[in-house]
Amino acid sequence: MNASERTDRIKRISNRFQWLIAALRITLPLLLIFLWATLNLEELEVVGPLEAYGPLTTPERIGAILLSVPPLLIVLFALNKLQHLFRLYASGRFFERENVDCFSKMGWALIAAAPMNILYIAALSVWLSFDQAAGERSLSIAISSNDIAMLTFGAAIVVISWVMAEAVELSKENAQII
Amino acid sequence: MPIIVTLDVMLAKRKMRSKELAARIGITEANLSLLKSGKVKGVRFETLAALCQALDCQPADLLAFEPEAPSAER
Repeated sequence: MNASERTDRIKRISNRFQWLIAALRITLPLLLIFLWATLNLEELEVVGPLEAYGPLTTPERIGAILLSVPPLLIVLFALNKLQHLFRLYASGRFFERENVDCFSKMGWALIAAAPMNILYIAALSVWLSFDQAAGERSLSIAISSNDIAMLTFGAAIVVISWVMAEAVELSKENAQII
Repeated sequence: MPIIVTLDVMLAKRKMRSKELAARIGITEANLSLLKSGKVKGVRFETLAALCQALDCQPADLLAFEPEAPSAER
């Protein structure tokens, strides 16, 4: 396989990924609404370490959806940057400043997603126990392995973006050698 | 840069057009133009070999060294 064929393959696959991520960006918010609209009390652990207090009421479900918006926005932002990155790859732009920006912003979004998830679970625990009698309300603060993984993954992507910035400089210099 | 590209001289000697040379060695006319004007940071051995092959010359026929005048010091 020569260089041109390799580039074509990258472009083709990147284009497919770009559409896949675009679909994910539309599906995720819908899935979230569906989850909170249909979630049973026994399934609450799917969301996080939350205590159940009787069947979920409609206001509780709506409140939970609203509380899910900030972490969802962070994930959608990271997906937006990932889609942009694949769009750049699909148009044959591999080593440009814009690619580095995508990596960097995606990394920082993942780093922000970890504390945001902790706050989300804490806020949810308060919200779902809000209609309980005083003294029976709860506040759960939990750090899961997922949060730590997200933080590590985000930090790794930020470091990769720094390496990519060096690659961009090398690519620029290489373009000046005929 | 003390390295001078004398490719245009060799092209004139061989009576060859830039377009034809670019096509022969497989680089774009734009890149050949940059090379002729010396607005590049370097030349790959691969390109140099292709140029020598196409123009039937030696690397020294395409490059020259002109030392820069030392800056005046007080």
